[in-house]
Amino acid sequence: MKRVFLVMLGLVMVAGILFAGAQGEAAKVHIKWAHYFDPLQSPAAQANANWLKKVIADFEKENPNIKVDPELFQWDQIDNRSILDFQAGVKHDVIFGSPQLMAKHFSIGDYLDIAPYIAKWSDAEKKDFSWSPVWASAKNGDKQYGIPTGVHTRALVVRRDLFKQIGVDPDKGEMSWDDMVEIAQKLTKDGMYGLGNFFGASRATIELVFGPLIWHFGGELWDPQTKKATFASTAGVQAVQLAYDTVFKYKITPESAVGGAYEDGVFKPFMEGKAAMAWGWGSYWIQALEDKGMIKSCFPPSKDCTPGTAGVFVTPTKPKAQFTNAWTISVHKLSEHPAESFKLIEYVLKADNLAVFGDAGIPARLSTWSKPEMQSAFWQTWLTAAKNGRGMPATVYYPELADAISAAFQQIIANNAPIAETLQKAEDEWNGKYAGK
Amino acid sequence: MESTPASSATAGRVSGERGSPAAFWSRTRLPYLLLAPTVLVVFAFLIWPILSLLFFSTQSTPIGDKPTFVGTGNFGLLFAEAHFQGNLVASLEYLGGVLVLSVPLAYFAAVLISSRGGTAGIFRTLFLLPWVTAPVVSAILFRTMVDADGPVPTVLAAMTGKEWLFLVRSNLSILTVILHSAWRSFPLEMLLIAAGLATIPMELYESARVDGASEWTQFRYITFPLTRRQLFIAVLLITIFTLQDSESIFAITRGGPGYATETVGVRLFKEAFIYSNMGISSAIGVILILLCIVFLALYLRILGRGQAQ
Amino acid sequence: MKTRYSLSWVAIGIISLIVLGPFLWGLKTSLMAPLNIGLLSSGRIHLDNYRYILSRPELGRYILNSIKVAAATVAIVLPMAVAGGYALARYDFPGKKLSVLLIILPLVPAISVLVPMIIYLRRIGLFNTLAGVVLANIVFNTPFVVWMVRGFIAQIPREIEEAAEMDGCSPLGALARVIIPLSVPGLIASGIFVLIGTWNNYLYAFAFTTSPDLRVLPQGMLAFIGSWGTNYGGLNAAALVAMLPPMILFLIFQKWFIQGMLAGSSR
Repeated sequence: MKRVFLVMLGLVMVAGILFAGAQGEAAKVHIKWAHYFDPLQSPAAQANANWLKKVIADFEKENPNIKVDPELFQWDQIDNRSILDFQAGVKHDVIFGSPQLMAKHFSIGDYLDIAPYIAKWSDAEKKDFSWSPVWASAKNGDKQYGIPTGVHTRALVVRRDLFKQIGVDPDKGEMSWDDMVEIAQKLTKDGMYGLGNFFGASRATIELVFGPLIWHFGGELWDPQTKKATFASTAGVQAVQLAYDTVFKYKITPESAVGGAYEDGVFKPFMEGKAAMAWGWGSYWIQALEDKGMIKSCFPPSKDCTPGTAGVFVTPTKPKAQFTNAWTISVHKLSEHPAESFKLIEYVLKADNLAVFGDAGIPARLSTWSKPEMQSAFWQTWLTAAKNGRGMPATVYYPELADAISAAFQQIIANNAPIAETLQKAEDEWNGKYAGK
Repeated sequence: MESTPASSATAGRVSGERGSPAAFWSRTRLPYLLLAPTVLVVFAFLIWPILSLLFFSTQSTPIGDKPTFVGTGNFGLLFAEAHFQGNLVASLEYLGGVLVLSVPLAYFAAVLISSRGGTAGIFRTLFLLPWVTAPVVSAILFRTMVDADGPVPTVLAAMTGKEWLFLVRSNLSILTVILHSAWRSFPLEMLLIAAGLATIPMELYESARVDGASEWTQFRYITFPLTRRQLFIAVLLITIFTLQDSESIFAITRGGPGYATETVGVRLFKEAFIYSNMGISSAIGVILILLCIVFLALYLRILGRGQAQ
Repeated sequence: MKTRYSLSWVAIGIISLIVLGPFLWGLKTSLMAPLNIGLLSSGRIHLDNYRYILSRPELGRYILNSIKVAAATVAIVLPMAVAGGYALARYDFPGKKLSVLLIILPLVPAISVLVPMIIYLRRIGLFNTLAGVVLANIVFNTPFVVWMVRGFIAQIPREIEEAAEMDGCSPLGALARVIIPLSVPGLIASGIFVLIGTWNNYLYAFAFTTSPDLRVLPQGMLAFIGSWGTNYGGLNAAALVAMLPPMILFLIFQKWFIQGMLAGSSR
């Protein structure tokens, strides 16, 4: 018995030495990069995953003593994971984040303040990023917790060929809500819906549909002064009524918009020719249009950008405002290599790298906007959309707010619940728990 | 339970003097030693979390602030909330639907596989397949079948001419998750019931038939009472599993549309892992445990634990 | 009589269809091109979905993790259960009534105590390790298996042990040489029960680990349900691939499993 024990002890020691030796193999610094590009999800995600691989390969070539390990998370869980892991003491280094959840990140403190690193940038470099409302949302006083990697805004994409068929100019770039409804009604035929949209069990419903519509009527989702939810106001009721009517009164959007995911309601139908227009088309889907040949030479942007079968309009609401955000890139508070992590971030933010980053959508860098390749009508429309863009309420309980409104929305559209009452109940419930916090 | 002749009859004295290995493993000590690992594991790793759960359920945990004691505050908030009341209703609907669908099917299948010899073997295995698959996997399969272009809505549309939006309508969504869970649950129930059936002597059925009893009477007076014990176990297991289920519902509907399929289990998952609200999620956890206890008591009363005459 | 016989075959056929339907449809969907999933759609078989999944390096890691967790759990639970089940089946001792607690406690829905367990695991340093997941599986499986094994052992006539002891065997020796060999079918049944339950479990791995490297198969599968859109072809292919390991294991051991389950629960 004793002998066996001693032999085992010896084996363990040998294994330990070998293992330790393997660790010392290089004075390499390992940093992790938490991202959300799951190639299996969609062609767009796959393109982003390839982009990530290339950036890492190039970075490692330039920095032979740094090794980057990508970590894949689901896009709607990456913020949560950052928070939960911070609380559990699990480390990350470079990590993507959503501006909607910045208030929560501030409160919990899971991001590192990178203002000291940014201070070393040239003024021109700082200006290139700090114009963006997303930059502002990642700022807390003097501290900076993230840098936007692009601009995500949404617009209305349309089938130019179908517009021309009914004699409407597809290149005006702007139209009113009533115009849109009229055109959509004319185009709802032969198995095609006039307007692809999404009202499902997701925050996208609030960000892309309810938000813009309540702003159309001059209302707000949440009041930053009183810290109370205000989505059940008259403006809110009118907003939901408008959405409801697109399905049941004008019949330009199918009821199935309530199920599935955002992509199922907006992206797929338009790409498959089942929707003549698509509401809330994200700038992260411009690459997909290019890949299918619906726009030509537009991504990566070039002077010869011409729309083909697809064209773009600014969101047809009064303030022409759509939800605008972007993924921010940050350093996790528990990172053991903040300097190397920030180096990777700077590399990612290089103009050349951002230019081919499909998920960036619209350039984060101001200097890129004035380049000749961004002057085509197509891109200028997107830039207008971005400039008109607005963000989501900066409440720490944003997830709860978005989910509550989304649930009410579905009860109304899918199950015919009375609009004002349902919204009010949801608002009261949220305020009961989170008002003033 | 099983009869235990006083073990002292053969327990006697084990050979060995005091201090020898044989005496260490003596009959008086043995059962405790044998049970020790199990007891240790259960108590060490379950009791503390349960106590901790009770503690946290009395705390209010706002984001970024320190937790504060609120006693039964969380419970009051939950029970007064229409949303949570809806969660309870959804849980009961879910459980009820699953039991109503799976138990009769299980009995039916159990009878079918019990009454024949070798050929039934294949089917016995076949019928167990739903239980062998992971809940997430079977949820994906079901979701595919009822979603827009799947076979179920297409066939129904062909038959009734209407559009069947399974994941859009509340009642159809609830039906989908119920069907999925019932499909998953019936194999285990079937197996347990079949075990019970195997113990029923054939003579009982034969004499009943001779007396002219119908199928239903046979079932009611022979089959059902004599499988009560197995039914109790089966129903209890499925109840516990169904009440706490969140992953399969999440995979199919994410709790929607609205809150239609948000059962207490799903609500608990969201509060704990998406909103990270320790206080509320702990309170919901306690309520869930209480629910299970209520059902346990209910089943004990209805199905009893002994054999019927 | 004849009609009853053929009717029951019809019934078996119907139930078989109900059981197999989802799998068959999943198979069909996974073999179609990505956006082609209607009932009447047909066309060339596309193996792209499978090719894609089987080529992902993560798949191997997920499967390996699942194997590690399942194997470790079974390896630890079975001996504990044999010991405990034997004690409960053969001995009367003060405090035996409390053994009911042992069975009742783990009926606590795991999801209720997940968050406290996370804190607990963090304190003992097992958070974000596969060992933590194994521990959780052990805690929630052992008592039920103890109960099952108790049932199996209770069916073995005492005379056999007594005979062995007459021959000079100690109680433990009797356990090893007599009881265990006789209850092999029951043990296999319990083992399979635990194995499948552990393999298919998503919740514990999800709650107690956070590194993508430590994901088990069901987690990996759920992550494929993109929140952006539903790629049914890929999803179903992933589901069917994930389903294979427990299915194969089950088919290998099904005879013993069924035999064991049928025997054990009728006592």
